[in-house]
Amino acid sequence: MNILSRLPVRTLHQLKCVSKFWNALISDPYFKMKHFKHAKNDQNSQKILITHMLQNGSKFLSYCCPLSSVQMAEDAEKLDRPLSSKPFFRVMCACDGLVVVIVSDIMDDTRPIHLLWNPSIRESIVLPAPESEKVYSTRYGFGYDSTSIDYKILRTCSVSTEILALKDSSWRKIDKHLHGVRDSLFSTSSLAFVHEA
Amino acid sequence: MVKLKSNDDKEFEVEEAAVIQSEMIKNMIEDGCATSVIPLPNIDSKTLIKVIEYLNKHINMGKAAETGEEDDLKEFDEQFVNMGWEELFDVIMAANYLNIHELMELCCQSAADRLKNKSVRAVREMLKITNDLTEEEEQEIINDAPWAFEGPEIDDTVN
Repeated sequence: MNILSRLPVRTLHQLKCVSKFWNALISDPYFKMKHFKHAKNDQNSQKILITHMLQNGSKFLSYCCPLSSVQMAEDAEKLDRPLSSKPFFRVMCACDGLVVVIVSDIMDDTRPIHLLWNPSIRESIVLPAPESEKVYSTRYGFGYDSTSIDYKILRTCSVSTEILALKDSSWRKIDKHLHGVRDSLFSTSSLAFVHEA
Repeated sequence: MVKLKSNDDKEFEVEEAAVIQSEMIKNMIEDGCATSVIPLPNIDSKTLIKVIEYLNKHINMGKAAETGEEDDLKEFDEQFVNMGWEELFDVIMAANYLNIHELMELCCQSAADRLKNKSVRAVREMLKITNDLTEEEEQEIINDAPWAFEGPEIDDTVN
């Protein structure tokens, strides 16, 4: 297990085919947690996700590059983005390798589809639709709440603030309005959910 | 000096400062159980020589940063793991048994680097694992994440 937790996700998927025991071991949540902890502390496995839109606006591309500068250029890996039938795609925030993205048919859609995407296993799930419409000033924050052992997404704009705990199936409105946090949400990769529960 | 005995009855003398990098032996010394020879029934002399070589080199690891010997140690580590697959595995087993954290890290990383991008067949052979999956089960795993099985650079060699 000590050796396996050092391997990249792609190799691990292949190695599930080694034997029944390996398939069970690699699929086990405990192993996944161990692998994640290792990857988080390993300088060489840090990666950056880059998405950009082609000039004519018709296509969005996503790449995954290792952060260690030696490999940067060669090792960029092109990713298939989730729900590629929808032309518009935007990364809102990320935490621990999970990315919250919105996709829509038209640019600046007020009701885009929210997805939670894990680029390293190429999987995504559709998140429940928030109550309020998305406006220009809507900001997102995404973090891990260790008190409830769950990831939470915070969505705020000038008129309303909602929060989604991934274990729940719907967004919850927060009465207290968060003034002054709008832009800072963008810069923090993980929010400390101290006051919410 | 501490005396270690391998499972093929060879004795080795190691400086205490070197040998306490092994948590297991450190605890034995603290508990006063290391007065005579420490038998190591899981480790053969060939592997033990490698482990002692590592311990002696890393004896002053904390000081290495001050004296600028870091590069030297790094080079030693690189050379050290440059060994056969079976030999590497014996050292991992010994490091695990003796509880030598740094050595374990070094060797496991080397083993992982060797397994990276290996074909399933090569991994089975390297680790002497018999495949007990049916063809359908194997196909199911592939269908779960087809992207992981596409692409080049899959290495079928065993070493």
